[in-house]
Amino acid sequence: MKLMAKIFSGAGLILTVCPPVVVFQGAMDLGSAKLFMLVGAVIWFTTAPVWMNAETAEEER
Amino acid sequence: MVLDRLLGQLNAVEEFERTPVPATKWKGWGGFIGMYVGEHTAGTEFVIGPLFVAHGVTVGALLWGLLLGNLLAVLSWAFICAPIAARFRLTLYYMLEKICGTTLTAIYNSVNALMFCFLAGSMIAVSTTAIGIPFQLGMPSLSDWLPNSVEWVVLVFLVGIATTVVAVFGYNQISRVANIAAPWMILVFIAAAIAALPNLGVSSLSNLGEVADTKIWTGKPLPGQSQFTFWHILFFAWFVNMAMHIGMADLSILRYAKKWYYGFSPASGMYVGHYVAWMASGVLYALFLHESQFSTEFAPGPVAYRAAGLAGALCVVIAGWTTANPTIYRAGLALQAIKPNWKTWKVTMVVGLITTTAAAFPALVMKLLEFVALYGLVLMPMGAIITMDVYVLPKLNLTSNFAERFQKSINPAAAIAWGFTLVSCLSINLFFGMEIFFLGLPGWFIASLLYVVCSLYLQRGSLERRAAHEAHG
Repeated sequence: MKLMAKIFSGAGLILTVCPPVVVFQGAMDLGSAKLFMLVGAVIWFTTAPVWMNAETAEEER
Repeated sequence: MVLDRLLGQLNAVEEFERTPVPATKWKGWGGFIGMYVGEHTAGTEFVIGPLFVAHGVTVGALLWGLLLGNLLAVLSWAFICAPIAARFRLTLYYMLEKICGTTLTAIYNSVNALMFCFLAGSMIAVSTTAIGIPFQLGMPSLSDWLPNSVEWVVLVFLVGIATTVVAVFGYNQISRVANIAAPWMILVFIAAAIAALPNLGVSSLSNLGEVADTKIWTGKPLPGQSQFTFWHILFFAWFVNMAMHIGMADLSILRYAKKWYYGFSPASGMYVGHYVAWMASGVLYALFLHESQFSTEFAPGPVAYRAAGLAGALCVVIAGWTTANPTIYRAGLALQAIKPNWKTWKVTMVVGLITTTAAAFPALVMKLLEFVALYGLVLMPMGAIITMDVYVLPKLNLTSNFAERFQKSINPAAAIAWGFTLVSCLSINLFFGMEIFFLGLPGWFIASLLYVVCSLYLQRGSLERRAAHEAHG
């Protein structure tokens, strides 16, 4: 479960960073990049708490 | 019920407020590096980077100023704050009590709390600029000091109340949200800037320098803004966290470090947050200026929304919120340290009210550079006092920890050093025209000298009286 969440979180961050790079290269319009970034944000904030909070709680213990 | 549970949790946390942190609780590099990146990639970054653009800094001044200024900040943490933190492993507040006395520490706490309120207020205003986008809220401009509309005040109060309520009931939750948001926020800063570059005319890395020179950091300030030079950037980057390093507030954090040289770990926050993020937010603001025909409107929310869409606006809201929330909480703790019998939630509510009221005034955002410089300057003398008390007083055969040793609630040497340093800095500003960004440097030497000289005078007198008393006794 945690591994899956980490993989999705990574995908969320990739969706945040890569589209602007593609925009810079002229292969995508800014509107599409904004949409991908929003999707990336949603994925990150729904999956990161699954593993980040668990790891923080373990460290605190 | 919820509050009781929360207070129970808070009471159960052992923070070693009046004892040195035991070796079993010392922490490794990783925690500090991550914490400093998160702490210094925050809502303020959305304001500081654009203000550099507004102040007409050049590319060279920015690159070199930030490089060297951040280096000086890291060295200040590593060689001034961290060695004392690792040697005594006490909080700033407890060290101040021992050196300066409880009354002077209470005054320090009050000033600190007030500064925290203003800082949190500016972040509530920053969040409001993003939340106001769907309501087509009229945004403040660079020259605005007072609220420009009733709608602005209403929305600021709603955001402020929500932030305060969360600070009262859910500090742990918001701190978790902040941890989760930190890596994403850093990437949004960078990604949004990359996405903005083509619209500024950057077609490849080869013309990036030319566009940066002509369209982003042009060297020409916006109307009504002062001209910033390399020296402004260097000193600002060095002193933006002066209260934390030279001012010793981070004793409370670095006392958990296994070794003193973990004091170099703030380099992560400086070079990610105070270098990359400041430059990235400057790029976003430059795009806004060009697309809006150099509008004087200054609102981080719409600026980020224009470059990164809803993700950008969300980033501004979260960045502002996650900075304002713990800041309100810290202000509450600082006030509660003065009167421990005050209820936590009541103190936090009062702090939230002050913060929200302050947030309605756009001056806090527009003058954020001056405010953070003032914040560091006001608190810095206490750091100079601690440094002298630890290193210099023993070499002069004087007693360290004067207040504890002589059972005084105020150490007059510390009070004089603090007060006269601030008066001296104000005089240098008024009569010699030195800007606030530079005052920290002479201020540190003035505070140090005053404290040593006053301690010499005060303690020699005390020791002579004591010796005479013992001789007669």
